[in-house]
Amino acid sequence: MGNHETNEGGATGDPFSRFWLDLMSKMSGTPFAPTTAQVQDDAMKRMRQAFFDAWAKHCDEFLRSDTFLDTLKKSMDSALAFKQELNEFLTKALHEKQMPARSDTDSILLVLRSMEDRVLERIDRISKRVDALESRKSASPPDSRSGKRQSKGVPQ
Amino acid sequence: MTVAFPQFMPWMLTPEQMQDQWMDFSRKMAHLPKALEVARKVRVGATPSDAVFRLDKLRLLRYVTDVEQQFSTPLLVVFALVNRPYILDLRPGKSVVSHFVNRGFDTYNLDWGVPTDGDRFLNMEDYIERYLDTVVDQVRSRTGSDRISILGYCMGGSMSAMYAALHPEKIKNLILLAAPVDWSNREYLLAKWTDASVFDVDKLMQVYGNAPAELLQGSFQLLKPVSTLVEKYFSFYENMEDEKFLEDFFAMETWLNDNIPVAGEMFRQFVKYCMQQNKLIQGKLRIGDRVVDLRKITCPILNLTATQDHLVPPELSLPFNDAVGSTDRKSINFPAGHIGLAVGTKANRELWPSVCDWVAERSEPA
Repeated sequence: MGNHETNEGGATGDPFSRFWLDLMSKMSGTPFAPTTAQVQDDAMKRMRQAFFDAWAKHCDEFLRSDTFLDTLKKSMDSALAFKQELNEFLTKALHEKQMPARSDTDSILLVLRSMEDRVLERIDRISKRVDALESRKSASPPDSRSGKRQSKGVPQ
Repeated sequence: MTVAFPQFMPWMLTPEQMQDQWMDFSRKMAHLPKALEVARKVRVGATPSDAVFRLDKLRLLRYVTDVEQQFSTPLLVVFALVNRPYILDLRPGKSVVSHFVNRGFDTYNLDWGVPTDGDRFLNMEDYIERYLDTVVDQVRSRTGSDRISILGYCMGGSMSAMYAALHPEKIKNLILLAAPVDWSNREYLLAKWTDASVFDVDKLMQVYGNAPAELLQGSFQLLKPVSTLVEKYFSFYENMEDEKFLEDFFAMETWLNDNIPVAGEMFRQFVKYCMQQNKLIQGKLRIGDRVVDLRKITCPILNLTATQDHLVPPELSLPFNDAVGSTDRKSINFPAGHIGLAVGTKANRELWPSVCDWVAERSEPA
């Protein structure tokens, strides 16, 4: 581990060298005195685990590096641009054939949501008025239904 | 020669060892059809349940049991919108739900269902103020209990915390399980990937509608690539002849690969306002026309975190206890991973019985 830390900022601090030094230091730290097959098997498993640990550590370093983040951003941007162009092409093609595209169903959905919002707001207001009337009639506290969009659902 | 040589190079096998390894490999390959049979027959879900309420795509499940009910305060489990909720009731011996059911709690689980393209405009207000609130009211009216206990897992925990802040009068106890609430730590991997400078969530939702299940699964796997893509299969190979291991392995794989998309607008708001702008813990998050103020939560809080959680590190959850108005609050940082907290053998043996005790002490007897 000492080597690894020394080399991080040094001349041999490239990712592969650091990975290799880390791996070797971890593996050399694995005690082994293979007198029996069982002990040897255990030593091999420990060395394999040391390899995985070193690999995982350096994968993590890479996955949070600027290089990876930059690549991630670029690849996502280009994938999204491609998908958007594909969507636009399909929309045009469907409209040419006088068929509805996703943008049309989205518009309908938004209109429905807007209508639903308006209806639910109206119901909320009516509920509040009913609650107020009920509370005036009786001294018991009103059922708190205000300030939310109540949904009926289906009891089974 | 055969004895001295490996002392210097333990990875070099003697001919006898090579023969043993070959025999071991042959035995495992002979066992492969049996392993595939286990994979084909694997069942998930340990506790029988009935769907007692449906609304749009969500279902409210009530666990059925012969155990006499000990508490009148019901428990509602709220899972994340990513993946399916049966991870909390995966298999006998690996079921959080069964701990509560066997202890005499009337236990419910909220299955959000699978959103389709038509659900892309469902937002945080829909999920919390409409769906979750309706389900809580259903549980309250079914059980006749004014206040209920909620157990929220991961993103479901964040949503439960938001709900508890908006409707504190309906919550008796709040248990958060690896639930992120404070994203001020930008050093953990998912924070780096979802940073606004890298991840344009507006564009993603504009183009795809919903958050694709494959994207979410791929991202989660890539967080620990060596573990999820390499080590796991070594472990599988080594334990191929252990039927119990295979059953657990395939049950877990079934859940891990049972991915579902997340409704686009909900995902966009969660990523943008919570993960990128960290508005929840600052008291700046708005749901509909209301501000989520965590200080309004006054019920007892149990905050469970996992020491080795790579998805929701403890530092994302622990600030919650200081942000609420409750005086009765406790946190347990258990040595496990994100999923191990729910299905781990140690967690099921040590953690969950004590969590049941905690909830039992704070619930109304039947």
